[in-house]
Amino acid sequence: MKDSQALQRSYNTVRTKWDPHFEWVVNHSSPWTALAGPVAHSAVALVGSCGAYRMSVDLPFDAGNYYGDPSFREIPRDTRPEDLAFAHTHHNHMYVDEDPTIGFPLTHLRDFEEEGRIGRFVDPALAFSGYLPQPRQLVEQTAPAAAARLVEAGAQAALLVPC
Amino acid sequence: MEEAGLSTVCLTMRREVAENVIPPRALFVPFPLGAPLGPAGDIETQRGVLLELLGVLDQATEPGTIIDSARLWKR
Repeated sequence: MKDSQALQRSYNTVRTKWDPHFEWVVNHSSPWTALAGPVAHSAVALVGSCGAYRMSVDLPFDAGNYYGDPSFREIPRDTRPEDLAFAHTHHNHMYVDEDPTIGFPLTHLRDFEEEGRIGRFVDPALAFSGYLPQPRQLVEQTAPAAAARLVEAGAQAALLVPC
Repeated sequence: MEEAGLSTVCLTMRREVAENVIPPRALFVPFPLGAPLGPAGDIETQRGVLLELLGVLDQATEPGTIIDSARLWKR
């Protein structure tokens, strides 16, 4: 593992405060699907991990759970930014509280489609809550389900926006 | 997602995490956690970061590509 003081601090904090069994997942290779054509002709999906959900519609993520919440939410692409809230206790909310687009850029991707910068902005967008010290359920269940959902929706590519 | 046939690109504010996770494609921005696309209300920066991200998606040719954005955090 390529270590650093910052990674060591994060490791110690998670193990001390929330999950004494936490270990980093370290990969040694990366999967690869070549983009089928230019981005300007591609169906692009948004996948965010700031914990976005629609107020009064979606159940919030279980952000207070020490082991995180591996589920995802489907967010219609035409959702207004002001209708979003964020359930994630491991990032500073001051930015997204002031401007939800920072954490879940629906409006920009709609604009890019209109401007011809992408072929299509896929509906729905998907939202996760990115704190997940025990990722097994994500890896084995919810991430494959999310991928299948995007394929079903016609996506060819996905932008992953963290917090 | 790649195994399902989707080409993905990941934005990151922690380069050392990306170096160990090894996403297929990544763009590093030196922004604080909680502000992945830049300052609140700064539409130009937010759009610019997303366009850079799309650029990495479009132009990366091998897995594990991490591109460093030249942007600086300006509040």
